[in-house]
Amino acid sequence: MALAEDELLRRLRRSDARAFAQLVDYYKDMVINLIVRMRGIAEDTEDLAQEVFLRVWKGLPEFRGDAKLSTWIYRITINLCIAEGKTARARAQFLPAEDVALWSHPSMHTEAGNPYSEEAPLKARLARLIPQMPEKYRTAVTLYYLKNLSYFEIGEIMDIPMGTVKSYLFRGKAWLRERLLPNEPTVERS
Amino acid sequence: MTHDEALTRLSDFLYGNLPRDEHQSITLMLETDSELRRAYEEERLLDGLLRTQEWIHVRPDFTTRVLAHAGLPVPHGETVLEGFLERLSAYAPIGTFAVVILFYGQAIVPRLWSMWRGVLDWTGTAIGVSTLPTSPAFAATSLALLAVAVVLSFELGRRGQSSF
Repeated sequence: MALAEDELLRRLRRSDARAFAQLVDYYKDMVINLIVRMRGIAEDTEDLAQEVFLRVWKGLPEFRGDAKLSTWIYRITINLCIAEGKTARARAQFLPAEDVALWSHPSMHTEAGNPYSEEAPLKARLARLIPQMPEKYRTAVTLYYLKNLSYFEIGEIMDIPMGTVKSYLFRGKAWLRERLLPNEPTVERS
Repeated sequence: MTHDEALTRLSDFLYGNLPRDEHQSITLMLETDSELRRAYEEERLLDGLLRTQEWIHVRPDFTTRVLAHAGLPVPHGETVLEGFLERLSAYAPIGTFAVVILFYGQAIVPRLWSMWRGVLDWTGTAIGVSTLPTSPAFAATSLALLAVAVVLSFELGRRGQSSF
């Protein structure tokens, strides 16, 4: 589904509830997945996503349209995740990814993956590692792999130059590789 | 290219984002440099894992709950009449233009026609051709095509800028 952004913005600025519902419907999965990748699955994931959309709604009168609507929403999500992470660091104990209960949170369900595939344990370890990455690397890697955003768009969201985005991605992947594949034998994949 | 330089370019190599000469030299190095080959395989593996992480869906009533928290009425489904009116309002400017043409066409068309004749005469003189078609049918067709082209280019430009 594609939305005509200027038409949607025009309706949102008229406080059109249906337009806001359309916006939430379009971005809800993306926002939830961005939050989950940034923080790991937690009880309050949906509450945080809800807070993102409330901030979008309240912030609409000040949104000048300099950036794309999507860029603005992702920026709000990232900032909220970072702020939440700082205030809740003491209790930020992420559940182990292999815990089955983690994936059966009542409000969310995952697309069925094969839990018996060779890569399943690695994926589970990766899901647990990402929320522990240094904040700037985590943000760059998450945005790049979640939505295939360009270096330019990631730079706009993080407010950094494109060269720095590339550097964060490189270092972020190196950080992950060191912890995920420390002595992993070379995997030959066709 | 040195081994360390090749290591920093493996991600771009994976996606074919390198100039041909750099791509070829890394391809050659991969045949002989086992450490680089191992790093490349790790890069591929990590990239694949990052791209295929679990995708989570929220409950269908998430939107309703967000709207309720924002103090907004939960919209019911759009009726046919509402949908029609919404689309109609989107085309209001061009509709107004069409109405103006319909009502004032009789006065405007002869003037446009004489201007068009003037343009054709001037163009014909300028390029040394005196047989440019000047019939009303030709003029009407070309003006209509011009109008369609202008409207289409504006519409395509608008959609290109606004869709995401």
